[in-house]
Amino acid sequence: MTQYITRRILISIPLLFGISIITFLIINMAPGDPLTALLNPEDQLSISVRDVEELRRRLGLDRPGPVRYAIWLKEALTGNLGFSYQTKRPVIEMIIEKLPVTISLMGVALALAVSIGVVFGVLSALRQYSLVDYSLSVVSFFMISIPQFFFALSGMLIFAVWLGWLPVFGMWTAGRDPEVWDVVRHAILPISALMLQDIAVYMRYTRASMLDTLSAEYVLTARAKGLSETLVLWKHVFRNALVPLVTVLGLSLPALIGGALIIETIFSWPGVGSLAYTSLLQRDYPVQMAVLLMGATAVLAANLLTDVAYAWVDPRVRHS
Amino acid sequence: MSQETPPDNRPPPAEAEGGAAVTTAQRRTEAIELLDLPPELSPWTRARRRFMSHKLAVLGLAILLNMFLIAIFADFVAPYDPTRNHLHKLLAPPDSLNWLGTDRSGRDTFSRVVYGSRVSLSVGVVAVSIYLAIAFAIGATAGLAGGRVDNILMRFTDLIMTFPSFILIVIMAGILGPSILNVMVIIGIFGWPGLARLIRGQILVQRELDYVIASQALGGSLRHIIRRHVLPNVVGPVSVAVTLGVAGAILAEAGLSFLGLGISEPAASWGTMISNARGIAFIDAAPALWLSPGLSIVLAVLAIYFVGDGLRDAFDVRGSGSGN
Repeated sequence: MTQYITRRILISIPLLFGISIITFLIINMAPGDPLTALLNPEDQLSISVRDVEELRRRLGLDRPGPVRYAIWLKEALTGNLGFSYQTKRPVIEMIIEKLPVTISLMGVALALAVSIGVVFGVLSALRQYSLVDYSLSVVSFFMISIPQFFFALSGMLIFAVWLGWLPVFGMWTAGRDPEVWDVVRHAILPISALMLQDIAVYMRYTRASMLDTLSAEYVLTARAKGLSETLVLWKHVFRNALVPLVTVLGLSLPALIGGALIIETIFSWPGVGSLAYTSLLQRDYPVQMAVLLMGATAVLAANLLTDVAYAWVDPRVRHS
Repeated sequence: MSQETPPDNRPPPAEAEGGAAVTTAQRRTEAIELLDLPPELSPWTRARRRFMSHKLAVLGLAILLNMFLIAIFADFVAPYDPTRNHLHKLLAPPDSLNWLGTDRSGRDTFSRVVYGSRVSLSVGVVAVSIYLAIAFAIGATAGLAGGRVDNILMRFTDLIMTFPSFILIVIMAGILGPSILNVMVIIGIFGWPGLARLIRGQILVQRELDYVIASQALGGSLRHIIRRHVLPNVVGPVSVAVTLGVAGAILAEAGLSFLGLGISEPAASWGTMISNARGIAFIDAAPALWLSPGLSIVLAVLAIYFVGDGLRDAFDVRGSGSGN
């Protein structure tokens, strides 16, 4: 197992470098001179060309791309991701303070999506080709076809504006200390919108995996032995059918990150998603760069964890 | 059910070719008839029949064809110019002249929804065509070349896959600026990894199949093998993935335009329309303004997913890993 984990980590290192190179290349495509973003507009009128060149040299902006990349990477590895053009604060600090909001939003959405998806997926498989199965399948098609932002706006219109049951946006009622219940009420719409597609994905996946397992020979054997249906399901089917779900968990992260950007923006939640959106509008490239770098690294880490978790529950994987 | 030859009026087998030896094909037809087996159908006929028996897929296809017709003939379908401002009638509710009301600049919502189908469908088709080409180049090269080339190309694919695609698309759109061409290209150049993996996987599977090995042993050229054996078998899974890809591209464009980074005014895109409607006052001020483009997106994407599901059944594709 240790050997397997070491091997997987070693494979990830070149990918990590690749992520940093691509991030660097993309942000370097951005138009405009970083100097103009750095200088006070009023100074730009009075500053001489020689001073600008001097500043450019001092900041290392005259160096060739690969050298700038090396410098940037060295700084990034020590936790310095630069300063925001807009707030002039360290980017890493800005992201870390917003991270808890985004992680809890995504975490709760994922946990709920998996639970709901598995329950309905199992139900669908046990009643294959029934009305329930058929309706759930049509519903799941709707779930993956509705853009998250449209679902969010419709939910706002129905539950917040027309019915008045839920708050329209924000993470808690302004001007009040955040209370648990208040935050929960504010979270219902954003989390519903964020988890909608994942529910469908987990439902379809669970159904397929259940059907595979139900037709496996060991299930037939278990039944032939005369085990009760409950025992067959709990001891033989569920355990084997739900293990492959681990592999889907890691794949959910990229879509969740993209979803968080839209959902946090619509509902004005103070997370990394809205930070990223603001940075897009303000062309705050250091922030965008950090978000891209950290997003990709998170996906890489999630894939690694998924592989290790899968190898742990299914020993066949690590020996192949 | 139309091509079957009923047993009564089949030509007498022996005299068919002027008394010459009975061909294998004829003998087989005869055997099938004697055994009362269903006639052998070509894979395409079988696929078409399976597709046509999938009711939702047929419904999806019908909706989709209509949408394409509306998009192509938008000039005739839309009652007004989608960019013309009727300044005496701003933010009007639906009536007999403006079926879905007008927006803040007095533009007819119904006409804009009609023209919006052009944007969505063309972005979907063009973006996916771009990434199908890239995916095919990378996937087929990796699958056929194997060894180091395969290894390098697949690690590169893994690398692109670690980026959350929507974030990547949004940042690129911010850098390149909003335009329909940019949106198509950006979605196109980042959409390929899942499909490339799928194509490579299919080729690796095909390479080991007995009939391909047999064809190789008989001296079939690489070109012949690819065209005759590999491509027809890759078509099924790839067509499913491509269909789902079009839906994904339409959703990505909508999200991008909703964030104000996709197609910009005055062009009509469903995502942009929703974004503008939200900006005006509050969402309950003129619900038709954003509900109509929103429901159009849902309808288009749903129809495509239905078609995709039908293709999956038709080609008997199981669990195609199309990424997102």
